[in-house]
Amino acid sequence: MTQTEDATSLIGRVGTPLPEGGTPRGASPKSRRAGWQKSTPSYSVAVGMVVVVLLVIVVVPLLPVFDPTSQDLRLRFLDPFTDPSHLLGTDALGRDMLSRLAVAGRVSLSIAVPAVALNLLIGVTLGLLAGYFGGALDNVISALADIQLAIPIMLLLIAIVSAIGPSEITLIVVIGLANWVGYARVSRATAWSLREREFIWAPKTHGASQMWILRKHLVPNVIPALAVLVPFDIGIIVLLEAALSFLGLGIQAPTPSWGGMIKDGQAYLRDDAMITVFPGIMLFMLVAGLQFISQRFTGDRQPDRSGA
Amino acid sequence: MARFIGRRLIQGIVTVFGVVTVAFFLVRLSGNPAALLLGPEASPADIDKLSETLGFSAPLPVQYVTFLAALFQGDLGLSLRQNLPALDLVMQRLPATLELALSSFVLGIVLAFLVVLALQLAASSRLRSAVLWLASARQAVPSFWLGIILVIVFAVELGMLPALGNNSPQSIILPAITIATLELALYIRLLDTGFGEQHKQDYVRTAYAKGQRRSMVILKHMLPNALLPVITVAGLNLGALLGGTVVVELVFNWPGVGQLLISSISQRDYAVVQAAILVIALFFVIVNFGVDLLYGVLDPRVRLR
Repeated sequence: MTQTEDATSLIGRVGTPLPEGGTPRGASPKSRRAGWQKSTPSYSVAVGMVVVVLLVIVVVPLLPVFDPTSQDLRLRFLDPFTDPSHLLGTDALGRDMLSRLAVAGRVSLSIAVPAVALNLLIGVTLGLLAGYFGGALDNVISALADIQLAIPIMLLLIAIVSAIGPSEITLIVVIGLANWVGYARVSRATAWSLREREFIWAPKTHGASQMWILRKHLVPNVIPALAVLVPFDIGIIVLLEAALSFLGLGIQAPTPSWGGMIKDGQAYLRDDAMITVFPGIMLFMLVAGLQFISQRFTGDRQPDRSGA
Repeated sequence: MARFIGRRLIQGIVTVFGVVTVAFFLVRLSGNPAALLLGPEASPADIDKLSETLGFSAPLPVQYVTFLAALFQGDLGLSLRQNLPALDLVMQRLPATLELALSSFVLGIVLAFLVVLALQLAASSRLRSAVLWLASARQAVPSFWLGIILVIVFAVELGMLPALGNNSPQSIILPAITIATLELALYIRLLDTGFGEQHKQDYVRTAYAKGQRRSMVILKHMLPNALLPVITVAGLNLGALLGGTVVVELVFNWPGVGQLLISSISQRDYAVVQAAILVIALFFVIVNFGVDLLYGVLDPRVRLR
């Protein structure tokens, strides 16, 4: 038994997990207690936050009071929790806040989820090809990834939307095409590490094609590693979309979006700050929840390209 | 080292070329820029006339060469609204953007550095979890929203600080805090991860075996190694920093490139949009090139790769 295993089992008995490697000998007991375990805030709180947002998105449209569009100027700036038919109050045009928050959440996810799916498709395909075949193909794909990283995604989005006009499809396609590098890296590393293993080359002896091996043997091996990145990236994209909508370059009125609601509310900070506060809370609960859930499985990965 | 610089230089030039080409096609992606400029009520004759003057009626390859030739002379066309060189308009705004972005960046990274060192020396797992939780939470808050909340609290309710514009020295405080907290969160997590990896290394074990004190091991042995990954990410993160600054400028009405960019988009002043995007992107590419060189100087292993 190595020293490390010994340390781990020892610490394990008293209930403090120590990650692989452990604290080196010679460190003080105090530092050993501190350990280097992955920091995850309470997982259930994170799940709770996401569930609350999803409940709002799914359940509110089923309620009889659901009405995100009709305006009533007599009821503008209604305070939250004063009127049962407008539980979270109303905005500057007297529209129901809760209904609008629900629709905005649905719109936001309807952009983030397909965009991540596109990221996955492109990233996994390019990453596996690069890692499995190596050589020139690998060089080309890696160069492509470098160029991709060299263009700030927020700037790219602003540029493209300003040229061809904002629409949900534009956002999905641009984010989908511009955010694949992380998935490609993980896929490439996995393919590279597995390419010499028996279960990869053995099928060739009974005539399996390269593509068949990629599909049947490599794809299933990268999916678990990538699956935990997905919630994290959905959060990042939700923030991106919110920032764009705030700039007036994302979701366009009359379709509600959290970013757009914050933008509209900015003009009425003195009248009613709550119409600005609520969409931000929804954003925070969804993004933080997704991030903490993802961290529980991945440890730490930086959202260094959010731009929001 | 010369080979390393050469390779990075070629990579940098390819990227710059890519950015320039993207900028060229963006304006033309929307169809006829002249038609967009004049709006839906313009007559076809007017559109043709403006196209001709702006050079949009020539074949695309010809336009591209003309565009590149003008670019080399620093000519990015005239702002169609203000009739001034687009590049000049952008360069006028650049100092304000850099002032905000760089002061936030420095504030964030210095604080992160101090916080993580303090966490390392204190070695309290509870404190560390709390700080990391806060950092993650900050990253989940949109900066533009945090900026507005700061305005509500410090400008509207307390009346302590100016909310908008850049009219007094205190004006930078709220926008800088908004961006700096995001940088702080990012670098706390990065540095913490950097240190976490160093704890497992053999040289750390050796240092402890020699009987060195924990504080010495952290400051003298681990710190330089933990800083290396931060430098790379700092370069890449600059893109997010500049993108974020664009948004925060709008919240605080800060007179920088971001505000110019957004107002030019709404006025369909494409020459200025193109110039602003090019300037920010080129700035980003150049700084990244510098960061890579710095990395090569600091870490000999990179040069050999």
